[in-house]
Amino acid sequence: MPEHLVVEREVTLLDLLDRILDKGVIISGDITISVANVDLIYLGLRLLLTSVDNLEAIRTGIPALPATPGQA
Amino acid sequence: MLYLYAIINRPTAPLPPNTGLGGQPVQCSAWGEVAAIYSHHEGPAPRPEAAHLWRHEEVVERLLDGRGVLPVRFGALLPDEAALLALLGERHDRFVAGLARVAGRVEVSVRALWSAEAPLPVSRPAEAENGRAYLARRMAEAQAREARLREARQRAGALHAALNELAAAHTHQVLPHECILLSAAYLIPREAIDPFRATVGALGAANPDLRLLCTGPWPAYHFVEGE
Repeated sequence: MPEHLVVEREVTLLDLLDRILDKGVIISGDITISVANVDLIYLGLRLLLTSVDNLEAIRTGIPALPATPGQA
Repeated sequence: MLYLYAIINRPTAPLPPNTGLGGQPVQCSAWGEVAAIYSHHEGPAPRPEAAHLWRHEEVVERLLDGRGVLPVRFGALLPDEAALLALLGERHDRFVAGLARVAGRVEVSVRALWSAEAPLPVSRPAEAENGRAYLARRMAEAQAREARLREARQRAGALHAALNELAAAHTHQVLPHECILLSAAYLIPREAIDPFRATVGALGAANPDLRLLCTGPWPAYHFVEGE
């Protein structure tokens, strides 16, 4: 799958999570899913970029670089 | 139990058939001018798995066809129809006002990211650096960093101003993270989707060092205010 489609799909999923779990009408008795005040794109960006790196690695046969700690 | 998807205006015609979580048929119960969209649910509360989230989203999106929809947050369960009608009665006027606000409108999400790594200035110490040189280097780093953040804020502000022209409402954060210049949601008229996308495209072309990610149209999740 082309890289831009992977990114698009992942971003759409992150945007869905950001909305459906954290926004919308609240009915008392909702399941509490603790994502409040967390920007999921912020969390997901690392996963997203990592997954694109992995994709690149699969294509070229070179292992992806390990994630740099403390940057996300 | 009843699992809730959305609040809509009392429909004037039967809704097209729709399948909810667990393959249950989607149903509608009205009170006054508003109605709740739900399906029957047995067993423990649904888990936030991708398939369940997308099913919830699809049920809500299929309602969007021209009408106002207040999407309900994932995971809302009510014991029975009596509790559902009590909820609609209790929050009736707030639901009516919320529906008027989102009618004919959709939400669009925009994120502006740096195309490459965020260009943070990092300097390398010279060999045998003395204390004075160290402090000077650290100060130059801090100043360069401040200048970059100032520029980023200014650019994010300009992007937002251009995007907001078509919007009836917005929520936005400038520089929520060093990698993200702008994270925003805009409530736009349904017929403005194409012009909005064209604006995003033009901004992307004018800012080749940025990556503009636009998703939507979404139900107006960000524009449900305390309903």
